[in-house]
Amino acid sequence: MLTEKENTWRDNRLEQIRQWEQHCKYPNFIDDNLIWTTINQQTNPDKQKAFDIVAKARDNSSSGTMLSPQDVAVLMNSDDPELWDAIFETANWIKRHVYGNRIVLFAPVYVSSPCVNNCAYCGFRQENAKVKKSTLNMDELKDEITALVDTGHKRTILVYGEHPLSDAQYICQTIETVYTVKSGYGEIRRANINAAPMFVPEYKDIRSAGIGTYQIFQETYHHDTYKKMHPKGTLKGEYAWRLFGLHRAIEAGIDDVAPGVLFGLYDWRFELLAMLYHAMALEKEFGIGPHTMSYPRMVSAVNTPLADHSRYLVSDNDFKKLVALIRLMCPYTGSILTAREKPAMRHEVVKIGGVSQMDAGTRIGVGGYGQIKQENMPDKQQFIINDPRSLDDFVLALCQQGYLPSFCTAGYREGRTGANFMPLAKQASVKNFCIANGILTFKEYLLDYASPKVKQIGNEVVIPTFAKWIQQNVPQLAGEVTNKLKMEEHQQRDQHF
Amino acid sequence: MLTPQTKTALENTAKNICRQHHLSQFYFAQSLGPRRHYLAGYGQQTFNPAQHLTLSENVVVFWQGTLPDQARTLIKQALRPIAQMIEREISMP
Repeated sequence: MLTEKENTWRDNRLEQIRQWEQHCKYPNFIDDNLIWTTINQQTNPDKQKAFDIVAKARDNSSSGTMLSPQDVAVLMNSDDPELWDAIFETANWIKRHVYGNRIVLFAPVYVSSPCVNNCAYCGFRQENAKVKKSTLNMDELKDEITALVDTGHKRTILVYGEHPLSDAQYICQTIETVYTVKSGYGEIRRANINAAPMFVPEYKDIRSAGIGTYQIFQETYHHDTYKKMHPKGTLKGEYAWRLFGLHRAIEAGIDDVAPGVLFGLYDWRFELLAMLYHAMALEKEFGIGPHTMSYPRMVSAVNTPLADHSRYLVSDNDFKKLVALIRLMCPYTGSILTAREKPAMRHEVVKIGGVSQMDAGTRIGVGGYGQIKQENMPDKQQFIINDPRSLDDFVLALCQQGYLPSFCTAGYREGRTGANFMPLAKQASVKNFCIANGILTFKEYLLDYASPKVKQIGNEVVIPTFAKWIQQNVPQLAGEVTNKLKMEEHQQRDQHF
Repeated sequence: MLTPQTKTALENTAKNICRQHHLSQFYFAQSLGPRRHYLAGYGQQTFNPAQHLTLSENVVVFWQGTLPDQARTLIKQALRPIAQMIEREISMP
């Protein structure tokens, strides 16, 4: 039960949200019937047509052009194994073409879990008494961040429930606190945000604290399903408010925005096309597309039966397909594969899905990094994570697969944000910086945090391999990379381009 | 937030500086904590290390190419009124 104070806060906010919705200036871009018509018109696709679309996607990756919904519908309706092999191969090719063979690593920090909403799939829903909710105070947050940076992370996403205790003012305070934490060479250099949709003045305040990306998941774009999952009278029950949450963020000057879907609430094919329509709407309105896209698959949560029994749970095979299609349909976007997936699945999907970012060493209980040895704390978590490996174990696995583990946060500290970032990603040249900064941040990890095994493969194989890539592809940076590596060996940190 | 007029003025200024000093790129950014938030600029990315100069409390410029110390000083002086204008606009609610 909500307290009287929580009820009042929610009701006042709901009234303001509904007023905003009444005067919403943006055209609705999710037409459920149109999406289903598009999917159903492309059943039994012609084989050659499908292969031509895959070839088009490959060409598009040098211009940042997205596939059309019709094109994506053709691909998603195919069950030709030969075509899917081509799609997986192309997804991996596009990712390497745009970003290089690096994986950016981050870790989420759950800052607050109390929530006034009652979403059917969420362990943190207000009525779920079996999960203990808590909000970190600034000292607790500092401890949490210290524990996190002591593992080697430089980049985080801060996650908040929607509650009067975690309003915009609290979010600003936490961001500022996160950036103050220093532990040895450890620090957070980029804090992304996953929080409820805000009003423009609230976004402006959050923007001023110096965030990376603002992430809002629609969860499901399907109107009827949205209504079923998010009870009327809750803040999250307001579909349009959430749908245009990223529009308002850009309006407030936040130009790195990130949509996402919780796959498993409704048909994955519908959700995928809807996410494409979302990207198209952002492009059309602001000329800026999604900085990243997220596609978490629904997993178990304490006292949350829907998470295990939804009729739309996505199979492993379909999951691989949808991840690869995201890369083909929106070649420039960052693609985030999370620790909700099991280690074997993650390593398979990263090879065939065009994934560019992954979390590692993840703990999602509020205060979870302070108890790092405890992999899951079900009664304190929104859901259960399936890849509880340490950051170091994860980094080792990436190295063994030939990837460059990257802790890069350079772009947004060098003014490569929004309209200055998008052309680099769209023209597939951002990899020139990604690899150089990946080398420098991975070297820091090797010097300060890595196990002997990671140090060995990192210094003997990974760094030389990617340094050679820089020499061959971006020779104008090669000398500076070598100089900066030497500076790092002499205890200088945070070298970047 | 910058007005469209200011944005255009910054783009033109950046263009002039690029031409005058043979720079491949020059752009203005706003300091927001650790973030340097792109405001406006001109030119092409050449994937050389970018240099930067702080114009005022919240305004930074980046460039690619070579700028001797004397030119940096001149640019900093010349851009002072522009930095003040940006500061005024970004401080508006």
